[in-house]
Amino acid sequence: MALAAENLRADYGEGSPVLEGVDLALEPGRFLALAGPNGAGKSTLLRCLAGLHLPQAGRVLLDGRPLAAIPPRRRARILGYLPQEVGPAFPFTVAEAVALGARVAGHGRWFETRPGRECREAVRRALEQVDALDLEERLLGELSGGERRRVLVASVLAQEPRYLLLDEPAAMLDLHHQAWLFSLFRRFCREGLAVLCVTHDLNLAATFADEILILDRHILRARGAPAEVLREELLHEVFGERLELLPRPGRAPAVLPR
Amino acid sequence: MSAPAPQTRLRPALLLGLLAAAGLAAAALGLALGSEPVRAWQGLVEVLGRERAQWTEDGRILALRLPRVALAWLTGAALAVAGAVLQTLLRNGLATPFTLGVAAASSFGAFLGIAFPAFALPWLGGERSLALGAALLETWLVLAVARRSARADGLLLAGVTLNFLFGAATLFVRYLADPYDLARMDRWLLGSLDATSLATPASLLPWLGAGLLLLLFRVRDLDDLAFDPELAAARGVRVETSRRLLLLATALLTAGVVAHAGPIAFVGLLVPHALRPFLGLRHAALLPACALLGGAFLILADVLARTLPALLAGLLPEAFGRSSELPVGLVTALIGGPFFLALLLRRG
Ligand SMILES: Nc1ncnc2c1ncn2[C@@H]1O[C@H](COP(=O)(O)OP(=O)(O)OP(=O)(O)O)[C@@H](O)[C@H]1O
Ligand SMILES: [Mg+2]
Repeated sequence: MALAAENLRADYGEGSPVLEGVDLALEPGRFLALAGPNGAGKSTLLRCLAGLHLPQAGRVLLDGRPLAAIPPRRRARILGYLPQEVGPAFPFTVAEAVALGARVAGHGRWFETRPGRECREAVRRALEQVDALDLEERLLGELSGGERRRVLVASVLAQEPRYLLLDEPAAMLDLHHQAWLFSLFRRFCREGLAVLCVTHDLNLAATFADEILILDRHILRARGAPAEVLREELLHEVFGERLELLPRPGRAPAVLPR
Repeated sequence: MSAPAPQTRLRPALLLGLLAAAGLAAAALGLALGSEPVRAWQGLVEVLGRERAQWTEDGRILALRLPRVALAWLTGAALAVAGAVLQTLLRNGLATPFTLGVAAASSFGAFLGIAFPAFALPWLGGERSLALGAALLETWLVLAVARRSARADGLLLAGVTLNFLFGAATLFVRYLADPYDLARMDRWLLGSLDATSLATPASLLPWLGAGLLLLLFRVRDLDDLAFDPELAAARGVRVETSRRLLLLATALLTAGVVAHAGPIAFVGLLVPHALRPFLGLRHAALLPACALLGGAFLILADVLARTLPALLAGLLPEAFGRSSELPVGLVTALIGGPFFLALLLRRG
C-alpha cells in the first residue's frame, strides 16, 4: 500500500528532461514535504504522481497498480491533488467550489440541481478543517489570496482521499494558518492518510513533516528526517549561499536568510 | 474585517418553476397576438379537437401560429443551451453557439442551395439539408483539427479559423449569385421562424434529442470544467473526451435549429449571461433554466416581429406599409444589444 514512483523521467516535449530517475514512495501515515528551487520540477513531479502528466520513462504505482490502469473517477476517490494555481472561469461561491470536491467522495447524486443535505454537510466539515467556515457564502474571486488558498485546500479535502498531493497549499497563508494547516496534515497522517506537500518554507516543513525531500535540477538530491536534510553544505549547494542555519537544541536547525 | 454581502443564489426549483410559467405565458401571447385578431382559445380547441374541415377562421389562424410558436420555443431553447455549454467549454462568457463556426457553415450550405438549386437535393428538404450538412461537416473538421493540434486552446483556434474560412466561402458564393438570390440570402441571415405545419418543429427533435442526450451524460463534467480543467482532470474528468462530446452536443443543437430558422443572434449569448449570477455553476440547473428562458424569449421576440410592423405602419405608412413582419433575428439583435450593454454597465 503506497503511492510509488519508480525511476521517473519526465519532460515537456522539448529535449531537456524536467525529472530524471526519481524514485519515491509515499506510504500511509507519512507526511512528506517536497522543497527545491523554482523550476526544479516539484510541480511536474506532483502532476506525474497525480496521473496528470505522463512520464517519458518509469512508472507510478498506486497501491501496486499502474496509475494509468485505474479509471480516473476511482483514482480521484483515492488521490486528492491541489494544483499550484487554480483559475475558475466564472464566479463560483466558496460552497459551490468545495461541493465539487465533495461530489467526488460520493456526497450527492449524479444529477442534482443543487447540493443535497449530505453534500452541504461535507462542505461545512471541509471548510471547518481549514478555518474557513465563515466564508461559505462568499464568492471565491472576492476572497483574499490566503483565504482563497485555504478554500481550495478544503475542496481537495472534501474529496476524502487517502493520499493528498498538495502543491504549495500554504503559499500566501499567514503564520497562524500555516501552522494550522500543517498540524492538520500531521493529524491526518496519524489517522492513516498520506500527505505529500510542496513548500518553500523549510522551517514549516521541519516542524511538522516526517521527512523532507529536496528536488534540485531534475533529480531528488536528498530525502530524510528534517535534522538529516537541513545541513549547511547541502542547502548552500542547492539554494546558494544566501542562507544560514541556526542550531536549536533537540530540534532541526532553523533556516534563516542571510 | 468588513465582509462583502454573501452571494445570493436562487433555489433552482423556484426559478425553474417561474421560468416554466413565463414560457407558458409567452406561448399564450404567441398564439393570441399577431397581425390578425383571433379568439385564440377557441382556435386552439378546434385545432386540437376537430377535423380540419370543421375549422373556423380562428382554427385556421391558430393552425398557422402553433407550429411557429413551437419552432420559436425549440430554437430559443436550443440556442441558449448551446451558448451556455460553449461559454463553459471555452471558459469565456462572450462565447456564443456560433463562435466555433457552426452558423457560418450553415450559411454557406444554405447559400449554396440558394445560388445553385441543383446542389440542394430537393428530396431532402433543399437548402436546409445543405445547411445542416455543412454545419456537421464543419464540426467534424473542428474536432479533427483540434485533435491533431498539441495546443491547449486547439478547439478555440480550430473553430475560429474555420469560422473565417466558411465566412470567406460564403462571401464567394454571394459574389457568384444574382440579385434576387442575394435578397433571399439576406433574409436567411436575418432568421425566420416560418413554419407551416408541426412537421417542421418535429423534424428538429432528433437533432435536439441527440444533443440533449449527450449533455445529460456530461453535465457533471461541465461543472468541473468551468472551475478548472487541471482540477477537473484530477477529479476524474476525461477532459479531452468530454470537450469533444460536449462540442458535438452543441453542434447538434445549433445545426438543427439554424438550418431551419437561420443564425438568430444574441439568444445564445444573452440568456446564459442573464441566468448565471442567480444559479451559479450547477449546469444541471443552469441548462434547463437556459432552455426555458431561451424558449420564452424567442417566442416573445417573434411576437414583436409579427406585431411591430402593424403598429409602426399606423405611425409611418410610407416606410412600413408593405412588410407584414420583421425578421426575428433583427428583433433579437435590437433587444439583445442594448440589454447586454445595460447588463455590462451595471456590473462594471
Ligand atoms: N507546461 C509546461 N511546458 C513547458 N515547460 C514547462 C511546463 N511546466 C513547467 N515547465 C518547465 O519545467 C521545469 C519544472 O517546472 P515545475 O513547474 O515543475 O517547477 P517547480 O519546481 O514547481 O517550480 P516553482 O517552485 O516555481 O513552482 C521548469 O523549467 C519549467 O520551465
Ligand atoms: Mg511549482
